Amino acid sequence: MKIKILNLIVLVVIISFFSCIEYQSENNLPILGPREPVEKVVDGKTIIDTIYHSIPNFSFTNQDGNEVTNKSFSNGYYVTDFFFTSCPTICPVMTKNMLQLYDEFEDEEKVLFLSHTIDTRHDSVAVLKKYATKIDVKSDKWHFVTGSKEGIYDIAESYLVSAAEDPNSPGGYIHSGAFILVDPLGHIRGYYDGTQPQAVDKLKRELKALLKKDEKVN
Amino acid sequence: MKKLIKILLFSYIFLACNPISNPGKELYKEKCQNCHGIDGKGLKGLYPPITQSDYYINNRSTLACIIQNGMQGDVEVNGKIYNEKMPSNPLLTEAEITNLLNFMNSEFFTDSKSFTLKEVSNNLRNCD
Repeated sequence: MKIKILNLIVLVVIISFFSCIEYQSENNLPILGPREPVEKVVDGKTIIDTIYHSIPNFSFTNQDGNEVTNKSFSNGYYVTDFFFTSCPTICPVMTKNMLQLYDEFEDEEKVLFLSHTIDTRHDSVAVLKKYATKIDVKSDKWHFVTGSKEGIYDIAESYLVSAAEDPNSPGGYIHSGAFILVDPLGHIRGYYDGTQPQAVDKLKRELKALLKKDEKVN
Repeated sequence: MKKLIKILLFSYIFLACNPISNPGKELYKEKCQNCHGIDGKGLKGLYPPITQSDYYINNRSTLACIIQNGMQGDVEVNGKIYNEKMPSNPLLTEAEITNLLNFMNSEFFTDSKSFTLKEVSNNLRNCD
């Protein structure tokens, strides 16, 4: 009887151990977003190709007053989010967590950061500059951008996250707390809750895996 | 032996139903922690520290007002200037503000006198 119970305990321990292993490989992050099938003619045969969702062209102004476009990020990966400087709720936590990523990848030139303000009225270039200076980050590594209200809200939609004015919310805006990981082709590779340290750690691991994989290919 | 098990079981159930929680801690988590941090150390040049801050010690009588009404403009804390706007908390009661201050006292300072409801209530009557 005793042996049976012991066997059972061992079995339960083994099962629970394996059930905790994440099976999704960090080396194979999917491309997220809607896909479009297109017909193409190759060598006289019609084949179906897939067009993946990618971030459309954008142009914003960063904390130094410089123009920032897709090209500014096409050399590597970037992590992006939507925030505003006077946000009293989740943004301080997002900034704190993004700073952790910044510190982690500070010397990795293939990783950049892009924070969009959704309060374009208040967050001028000068306000963004002050904000970036206060957290002591370099402009060419972490871009804080502003632009036309429509431009920012439209690009949020392209990143498939929400950003909107809401007079009933603290600070006057509601927005997603997501950190979005984008690859050199403008494909979204991951969403992470920027307010949760575990999610930010996952981003760190997955981004490192992508960089490692690229290194092997080149 | 049986008695011991009974006592243990009983105290376990009793404690499980009455989690020892500090009401000030919950308020801190809800109202302050996002900016000032779980350790009270603030965030770089954006949000000032509470932990061992000279401002907190030197402005004891206005702390309750700052929690209730928020704050804006330049403020010097431990020799550094900060100027983010701190939101107001008009819905906090005097008792809640007292709990919050006492939590911060015990968490972020080694030797500070605790606040009484009377003191906080007095301070709140004399806000600018």
